[in-house]
Amino acid sequence: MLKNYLKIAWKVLLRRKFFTFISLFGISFTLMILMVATAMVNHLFGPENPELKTDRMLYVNRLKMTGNGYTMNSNPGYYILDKYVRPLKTPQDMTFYTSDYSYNAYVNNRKLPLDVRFTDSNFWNVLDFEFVEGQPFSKGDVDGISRVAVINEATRQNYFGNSTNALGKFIEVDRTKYKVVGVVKNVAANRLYTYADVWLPYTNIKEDYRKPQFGGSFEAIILANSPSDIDNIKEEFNQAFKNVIIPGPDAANYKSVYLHADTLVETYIRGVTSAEGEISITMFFTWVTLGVLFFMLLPTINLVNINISRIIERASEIGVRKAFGASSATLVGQFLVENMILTLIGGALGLLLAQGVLAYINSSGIIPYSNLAINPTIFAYSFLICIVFGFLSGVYPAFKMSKLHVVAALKGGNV
Amino acid sequence: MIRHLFKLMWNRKRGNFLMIVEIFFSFLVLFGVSTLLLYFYTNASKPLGFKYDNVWVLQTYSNDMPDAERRERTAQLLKQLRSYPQIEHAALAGPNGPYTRSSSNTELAHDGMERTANVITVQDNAFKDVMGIEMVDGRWFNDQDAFSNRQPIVVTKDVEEAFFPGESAVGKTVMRGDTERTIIGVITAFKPTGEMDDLTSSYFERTALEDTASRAMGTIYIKIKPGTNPQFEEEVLETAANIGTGWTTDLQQMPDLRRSYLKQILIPMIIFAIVCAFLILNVALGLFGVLWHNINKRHSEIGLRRALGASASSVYKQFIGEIMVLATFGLVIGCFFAVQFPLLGIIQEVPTETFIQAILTSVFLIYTLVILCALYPSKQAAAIHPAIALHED
Repeated sequence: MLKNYLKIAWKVLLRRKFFTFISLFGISFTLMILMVATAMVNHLFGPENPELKTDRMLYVNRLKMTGNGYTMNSNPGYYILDKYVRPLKTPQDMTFYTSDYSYNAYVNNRKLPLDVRFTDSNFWNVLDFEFVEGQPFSKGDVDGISRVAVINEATRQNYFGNSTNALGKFIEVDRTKYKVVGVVKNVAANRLYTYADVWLPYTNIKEDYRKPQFGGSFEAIILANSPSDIDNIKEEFNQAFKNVIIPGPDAANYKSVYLHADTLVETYIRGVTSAEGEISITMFFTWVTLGVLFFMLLPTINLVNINISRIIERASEIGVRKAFGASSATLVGQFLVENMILTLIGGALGLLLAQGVLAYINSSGIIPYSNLAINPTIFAYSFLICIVFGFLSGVYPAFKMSKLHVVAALKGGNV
Repeated sequence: MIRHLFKLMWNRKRGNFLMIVEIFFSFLVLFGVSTLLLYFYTNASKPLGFKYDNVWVLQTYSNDMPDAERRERTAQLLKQLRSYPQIEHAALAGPNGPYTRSSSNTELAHDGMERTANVITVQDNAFKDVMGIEMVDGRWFNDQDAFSNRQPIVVTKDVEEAFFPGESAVGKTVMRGDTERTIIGVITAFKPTGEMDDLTSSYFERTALEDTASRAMGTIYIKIKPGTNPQFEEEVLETAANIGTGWTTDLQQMPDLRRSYLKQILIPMIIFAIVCAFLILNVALGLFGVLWHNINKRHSEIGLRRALGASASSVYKQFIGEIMVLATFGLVIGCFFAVQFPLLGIIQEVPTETFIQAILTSVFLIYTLVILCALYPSKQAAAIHPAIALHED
């Protein structure tokens, strides 16, 4: 039976080439855009080098203080993290490091901008960097204020030329020379909380980062024992920040302190909404789903329109089948299958187009070091999107068709 | 004729429902895109008021250096920089210069009117020369202004026009919070937040580095002689490091800052526009297909009309007219939603005129689109020979 449907579907597609072209154009472009968007979202939130354990990670990077008409938004400083986050009992591990600083290095009279992060040694345990050569700096290096650096492959290439060996060589950052102890694979710049070109021990920071004030330029990642532990950590974290005492001159200006341990998705939502309380993920996904549906609405209506036109052509066929006893359900099923086939062909085209677009984005350098790609997860999502799209655009015309009266249909009447 | 067409389409509203919905959503999409594009275009067409070529921005952070020493060293660094033959001018000012991604604004008030303006603090008199700012009226700062109790400021032309329409603002006072400021000069324009931003008003105030009551600034704006070797950057940083021991410094070229600023705004806008263009193209192709199909189905009707003496051009006009009526139905619903934006003030940043322009543009585009889609099918319909058409049925 299905084989028959496939045959009919194929013949119908070939009969009206212009209509088939319009349908395929609409379907493939719609699905391409959705696939590229899915790949982007996955690139932002999914587990990817070096943040492979995203389901067990909580990010602490946005401090907000309010009071007396003042509002301050900044990164938390070392002091507040050390005093309130370090003593937490539930986490398995945690790392403190700075947001990225930008410095210019000069190589052979050429300017080379470098993004630099100062980190502790735990950074290398919590995150899974892929080392191309060498190894991370140790706790001893951090405590001993060693001038050592881990750099990414791009920096090795740009700074030391085509040599594959940078270990033991020196890189100059902010007029200080650091010895390279490790080289890691490039991290895409959209990994806002781990990306850098150069990573240095945080004890090398020139200013007094330990001074007693809440604001600063630090961030933290907390690693949970298991994904189910995330909520316990959040609870303990919020408990710890219930009664904080604001130190120094800030005490006069500010009354409330907001600092959160958020999952990666939540940090982005907080960035956009600058919410003070807990983030509702469900709410966020509802909005995203609505947005996607709204985007798909226009191509869907378009396709429905075309489908209805195409069905009218086949009124006599439907009439004959009905006259010979085909039920409405059978007809709806047949038409849906036909539409699914069309959608899947469009989806396959869309997948090819999406590959092309992603390759273009990667090579254009819009997102430094990005490696957007279609992986099995995205493929599965795309397939799901295809099915939904095919169903949405096929169900209404099929329903209309099945309601056609036999006599009218045989006469080639109006739908 | 038109009434007749409306009646005709109204009677077939169920059959045409999907097309109306399609046109309605296409209108909404076009309205969104054109609002965005017109908003940025309007902003970008206002004068910048400065020149970014050959301007370098040297940020210095003194870290934990005591304040007095910091001031001394900064003055020393400025003096040293000005002695280079490659440097035309060097100015010390706040961190919120053009394209620096740092901004600071406040309300200026006069006579019950309020106006938001960027506020830029300069700590010497060179900023005007570095940025190529042009005076319209009055004068730029001199050394005495930092200690004047009249709190002198220099404002942009649009502040003058808003507060003192038709007269010179020089010598007049405006309020900032509860303190009075005296306007000593008016400049053409100054948009430090970049061409795409909607905030056009700015004012400058003058403090002095040696005056310990005012905060010491750490950003030095340098005008380089054209054709200077880029290697000179390294020399500037070297000088800064030698004079400011323990400082953290950062040197950027303003054209680079501008490029990355524009990139950040233009890339999402281009992506959005491409996606919407695709949606509209999709709709156009679909409309074309459906119209073609529908008109082909009406052979006998056309044959009958032609046989009764209607000319080919009147058949042609009828079909174009029908699709325009259909579009009108969709547009009326669309406009009803679109006018809510300016009426309810949902997006404050976008002025009402931009919304109206966007609505008009979208209406125009939709009509053009449907006419283009109907052109070929209608032409075909008009070319039908009555005898053949009537024979078919």
